[in-house]
Amino acid sequence: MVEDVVSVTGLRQVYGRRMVLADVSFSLQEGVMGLLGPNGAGKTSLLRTLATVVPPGQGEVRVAGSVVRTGREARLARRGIGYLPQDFGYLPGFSVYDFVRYVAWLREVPRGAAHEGTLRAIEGVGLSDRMHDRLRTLSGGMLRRAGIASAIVGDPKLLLLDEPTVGLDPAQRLDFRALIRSLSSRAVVLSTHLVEDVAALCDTVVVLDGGRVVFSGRTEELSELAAPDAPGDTAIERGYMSVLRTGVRG
Amino acid sequence: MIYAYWTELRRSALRWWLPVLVAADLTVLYERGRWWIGVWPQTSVAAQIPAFYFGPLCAALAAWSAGRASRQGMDEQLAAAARPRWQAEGLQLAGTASFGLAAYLVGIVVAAVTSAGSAGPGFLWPGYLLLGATVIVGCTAVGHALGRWSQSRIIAPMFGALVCFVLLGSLSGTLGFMVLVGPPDARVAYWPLATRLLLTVAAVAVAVSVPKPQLRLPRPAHRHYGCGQAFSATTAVMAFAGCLAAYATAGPIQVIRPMPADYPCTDTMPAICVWPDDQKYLPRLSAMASRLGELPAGQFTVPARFYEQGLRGSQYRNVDFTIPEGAMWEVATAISIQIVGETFPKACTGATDDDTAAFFHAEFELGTWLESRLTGAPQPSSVHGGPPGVDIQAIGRLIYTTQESQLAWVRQRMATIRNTTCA
Repeated sequence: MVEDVVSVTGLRQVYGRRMVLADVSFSLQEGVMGLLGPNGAGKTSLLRTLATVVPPGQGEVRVAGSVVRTGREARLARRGIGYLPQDFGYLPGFSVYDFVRYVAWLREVPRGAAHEGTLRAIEGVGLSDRMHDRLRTLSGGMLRRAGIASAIVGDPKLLLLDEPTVGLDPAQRLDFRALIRSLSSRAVVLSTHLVEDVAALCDTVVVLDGGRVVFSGRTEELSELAAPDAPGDTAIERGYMSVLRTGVRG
Repeated sequence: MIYAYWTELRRSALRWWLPVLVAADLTVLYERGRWWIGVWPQTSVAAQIPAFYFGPLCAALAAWSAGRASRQGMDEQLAAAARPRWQAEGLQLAGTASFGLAAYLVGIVVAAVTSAGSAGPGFLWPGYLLLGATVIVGCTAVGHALGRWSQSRIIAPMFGALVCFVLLGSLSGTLGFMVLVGPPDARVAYWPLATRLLLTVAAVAVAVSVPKPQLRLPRPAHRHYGCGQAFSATTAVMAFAGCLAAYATAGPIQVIRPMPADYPCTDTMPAICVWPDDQKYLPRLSAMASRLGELPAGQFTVPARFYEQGLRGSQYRNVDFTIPEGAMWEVATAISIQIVGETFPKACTGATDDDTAAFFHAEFELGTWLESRLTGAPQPSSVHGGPPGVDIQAIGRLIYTTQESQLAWVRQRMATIRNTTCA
């Protein structure tokens, strides 16, 4: 039996009086999982919880089979988690290499593997020729690539990408898709508004609405749920709109 | 860790400030005075003085640098890092402090090289140098903490510099974070120095581990796993409080140095003896002793030896001379007082106020004349004031007149003293 890279059981997050996540459960092995939902659905809260930035209000998060309960367990788990926040920060004076290597240090990638891992991550995102350029000199698309390189350095088992295609032009988005496909040997959670990205990239999809999972299943299953009168240009868009409207649970 | 530290140094914006810091260090070192050259304790103190200027500057630079993570939106990535936040903060603080310490080190090396040619036995005194290093690191920690808590590019650096400036400037005498002179009869006290080192380490621990103080409970979105962060922050604050208490009760940073077993003296009669550290002054003191031998014979009682403060027992501390900032006039003043005291050992209060005034006026004039004769020149313009009622300029002119006219002048004053009717 293949072990889940990450699994969530009965996750609940309450911020003040607002229920942000309610009884969220799913598991993920290798492959790309899309996380869809309207603004305020809880996607970022879910990713932050998976990244162990915030502990669950209730429920349980398991990373590589181990329950994360304490700060020590969270730090251990983070060695295997690559996380690219939506508004990811970077140090403009650092070169691409320095920045990725710095994140490798933050992730406690062993010293002997840090250099090779950094080079591999940079090569993986196609920035080898800009490796020594400062981040402030890169375009928006290249910055995203550098951010992804920082997320994948050290070959984490779990990769969490929050709205990674925001601000990219169509050509850059196509490049990005190719990049994500090359990472599909690990567990990737891709949070996005863009249903077409999910259709192109994801094996499975979780749709959140109001903090609740309204769909969890294979991508094509979401397309199959499309109601004939649902808005949307593609089957998956109509499927997505349908589950939002009806609140069908996977 | 080493590569990450090296990256911090290479990529830090502060590296552009390094030449400025070095220039500031050397300017302070040489423009404040050159009398420290050739005396190791004074050289050590002189090399430490630039830390007074670096402290506020490092605090400002650290405050500016420390807000980097928040300004660049790195907080989320740091929160998701396997490495504890304090290590990332500590690395950045170490980078900032390294620039201050590097410039400080350049100043120390230059001071040592400058002194080596003319200095007596020994070398730089590490106690004074450590004191300067604690100031630089401590101020860097203050600035880093303020930068983390405020995140403002302007307010935090200004406030950090101001805090350190007040601590080091207005209160430095009270707080003992710095010393301004290193006389050879004083040394750095070990325990007070240790408490300052510990206080600095504790300040660094607070700066890297204590998050921005919150008046309200953290929002749920900002909760953390476990209580490790709160525990380490509380521990750091408690350690800082403990070190602060130890520092406050440790006593003065400078204490009296034990008397040396051996010390150099001039080959003159009378002899003038100094600490081994001050042996560079022997030629000038020999000249002074020679001029002492040229005084009118039989008029004054001159001790066979004069001692620098600290070479004899504590009962002589107020009698023996010091050489503050290499000033020979001060030496001459102390020796003159001794000669006048030996010549007229009996204290006298006149029968009338006029008698008393005349007695002391004559003594003061003789003392001032002796000072000028010993140094071979009138009172220098850098020395302000003098004994009350004494015409210093007239005495300055007197020493260039004939021996006979000076002798007549001296006898007149001596007669005044001897003829005073004591009560």
